[in-house]
Amino acid sequence: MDLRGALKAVRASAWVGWQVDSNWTEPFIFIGIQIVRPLASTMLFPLLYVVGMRLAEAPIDLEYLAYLIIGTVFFTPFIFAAETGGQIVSQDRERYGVMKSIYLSKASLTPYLFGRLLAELGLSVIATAASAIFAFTAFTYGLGLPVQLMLKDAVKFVLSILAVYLGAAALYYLLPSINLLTNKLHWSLTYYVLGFLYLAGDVLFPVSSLNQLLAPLEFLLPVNQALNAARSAFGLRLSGDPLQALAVSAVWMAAGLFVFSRAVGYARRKGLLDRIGWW
Amino acid sequence: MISRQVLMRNLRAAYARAYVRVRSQFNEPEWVIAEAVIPLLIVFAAATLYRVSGSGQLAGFAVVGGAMMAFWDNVLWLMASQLYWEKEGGNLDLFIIAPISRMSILLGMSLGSIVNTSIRAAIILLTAFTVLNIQLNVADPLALSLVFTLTLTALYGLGMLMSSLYMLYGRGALNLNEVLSEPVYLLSGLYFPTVGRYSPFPTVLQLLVSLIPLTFGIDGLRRTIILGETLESLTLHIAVLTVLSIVLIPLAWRTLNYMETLGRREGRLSLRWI
Amino acid sequence: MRSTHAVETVGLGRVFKNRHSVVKALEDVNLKVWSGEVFGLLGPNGAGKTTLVKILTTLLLPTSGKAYVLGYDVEKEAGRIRPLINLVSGGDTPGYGLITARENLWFYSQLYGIDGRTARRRIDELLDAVGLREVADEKLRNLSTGYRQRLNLARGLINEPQVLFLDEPTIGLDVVSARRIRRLVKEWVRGDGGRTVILTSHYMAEVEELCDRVAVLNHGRILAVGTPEELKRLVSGKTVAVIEAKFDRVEDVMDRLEAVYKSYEPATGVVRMRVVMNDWGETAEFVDKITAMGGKILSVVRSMPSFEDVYVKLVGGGDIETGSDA
Repeated sequence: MDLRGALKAVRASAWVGWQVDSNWTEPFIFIGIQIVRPLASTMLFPLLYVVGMRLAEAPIDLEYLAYLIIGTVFFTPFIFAAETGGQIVSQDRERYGVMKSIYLSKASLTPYLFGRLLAELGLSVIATAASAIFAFTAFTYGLGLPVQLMLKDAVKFVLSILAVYLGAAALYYLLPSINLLTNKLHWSLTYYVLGFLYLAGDVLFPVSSLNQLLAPLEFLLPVNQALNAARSAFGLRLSGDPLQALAVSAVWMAAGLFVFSRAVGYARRKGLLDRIGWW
Repeated sequence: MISRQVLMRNLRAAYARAYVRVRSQFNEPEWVIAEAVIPLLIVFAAATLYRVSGSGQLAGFAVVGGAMMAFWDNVLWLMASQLYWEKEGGNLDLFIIAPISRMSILLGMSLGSIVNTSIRAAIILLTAFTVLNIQLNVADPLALSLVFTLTLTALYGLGMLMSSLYMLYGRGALNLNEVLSEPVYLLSGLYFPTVGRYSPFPTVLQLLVSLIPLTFGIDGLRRTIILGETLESLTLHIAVLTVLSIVLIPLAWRTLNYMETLGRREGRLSLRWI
Repeated sequence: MRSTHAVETVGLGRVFKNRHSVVKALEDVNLKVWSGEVFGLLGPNGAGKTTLVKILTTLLLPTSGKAYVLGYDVEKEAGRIRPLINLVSGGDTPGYGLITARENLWFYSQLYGIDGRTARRRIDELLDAVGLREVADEKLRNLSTGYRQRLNLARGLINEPQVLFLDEPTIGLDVVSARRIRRLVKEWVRGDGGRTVILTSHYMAEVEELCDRVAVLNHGRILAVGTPEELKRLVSGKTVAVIEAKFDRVEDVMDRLEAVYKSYEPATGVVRMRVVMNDWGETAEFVDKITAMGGKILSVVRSMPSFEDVYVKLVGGGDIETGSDA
């Protein structure tokens, strides 16, 4: 494998991703999409909890509030990965018409997608950090709720963040694998997956709250493990093992890459790499 | 004074555009499924959050919010952006050279959208209320109808206003949709009240978000559907929504005319990828 | 004073300004088109043809001068013009993919306020005329480009316009589909007196075949107006040499050959050129220029000037750039 060539392709793809997705030339749009929007997603459910408790005239559990905030903040990379991964095939294949040219190039699609992923994850770091700072400030000083969001274990935190990003990367490769094979889900697939993860991903509540039969999902999905590991790094009373989270995410990443390469092969055999329209 | 012939022509155009919208939707059942299922997933998540956190009696708020999310998304993606998509598809030129008011096209789009989205919203409501076993508490159907009608009128008036801007400013304005989606869910109180006593926002912000028809609309619908309130306690909501309707629709008309003239003057109406 | 022509422009100008540049798309355009004419607008990309069509169809306002369609001012009386015109842009296939061809035509008929019965009758007639009856109930997204362009033409005729604007109607179509469109246009114009067509095109043969008169534009200005025969007289008395030559490195001389270049055959390395000259005696000078550029002459054949030669003469070119190393 030509490593230097692949790295060049990755770097160029990351640059394209930054140009296309960041809107950095329009600061208002950049701030709106990369900061304000993720911020709104982060704040929505913790605020729902606070307002709900006030309406019900019940006390606010600050630890649960911290659970919610950490969940929604560190779910941000998954949102970024899913939104780009879910739309990259239809954009590149139909709108920009570049997919077949990239496929035919020496580097081909996997390094290209990796480069685009790096750009997305880079953008998500900005969004995640901004959301975390804003959420802490808003709840602690704005609403007078002193949420415990102080980092207790830096190593655990770093490992859990790695697990988050690896899990997000897995999602990023899985979604285009499906969209290569059908064009009908190019806008809905992302939101099916994100909706499912909000329900079952331990983002807002343990998945076992839905139904005990779903409890094993906590150990199977990359989102749950990674978020719980991050929560335990902040000192919440949860059994979140970052090494376990990393292992689960790594398995998902390997699966994502495998599925993607098979999907590309299948798409080539069926002539789908440049097929446009609704099919 | 508009002649009968001109009026009929515009009404035909509105009907035809509404027909296209409704027919297209039913020719693609995947859309109906996706646009019902996706909000349902979030509704279930929000409702479960209410339940696990100890305010389960408010789970119905999440359901009402989910149904109205369908309308807001429709206004953003299928109303506000629609003239931009018509431009990309080559239809906008044909609308401009046709002897009709562009408002009749927007009216048709609105009516078609309302039909489609109401079906989706009904699916969301029925499914969610059944699965989550939530108690409906409609004490005043007249209040409910009034709030719902005024909310949709004001909401689609806003959609018409936005579509004039998008028609001219194209992709830049399209990015605005991305910016407006989640922040509006949050600020206008899709799942919890953001105006009034329990709002987590400062007064200034509450005043600003009141300008979004969704804010008072959803709050009014929550009160009539879940909390069983009657017309008397909704006078503020009805007043705000009425004012918004009265202001937004004529403003949309004027803005559309202005934008069209500006577009013809600057040559931006037919430009693609702008 | 109201114009009696189908289309008239007086000193028409259009300037586009943006942050970085000012572009004069049209400058002092004076045209008169009679009712019942098929009038062609010919010119290279960026000549101003589409800008002119957009002004006449009320999509764009002029920045100077006046334009009238059927006697109505495009700026002040757009509402009176619109019921009487229609526009078919080649390369565009507007419509809604999820409804059928018939439903799409019905939709557009309603923009002109045509009542249901009349609309149905007209739609059936048009579907027959453009040969789409068998796919009338197919969804638009399932139709091929050729079918969609035929449907686009049918849509342009739905309101029985008095002036039909055809902006490159056959662009991107295969030969058979393009021929069909041209035939339909000819039949439509013949069908009822007073029907006027304004046609823009890149294809010389199409303009020659369809148009009663042609205006050649370049850089926003009218260079010549006349019947195809009148315009050919601009090059009558001229002679055309078709020259085949080989070059050691074609890529080095291609820029300088652009004005006369016709084709290049990579397998044989032969470049074919077409040169309009005042006199056959000029051939020797031209051959010298080719030789000085390193070319080896293979054949020189005399030919008659064509409409394409008119175009090339008017919009510039027709000779090679000799360059400093000639």
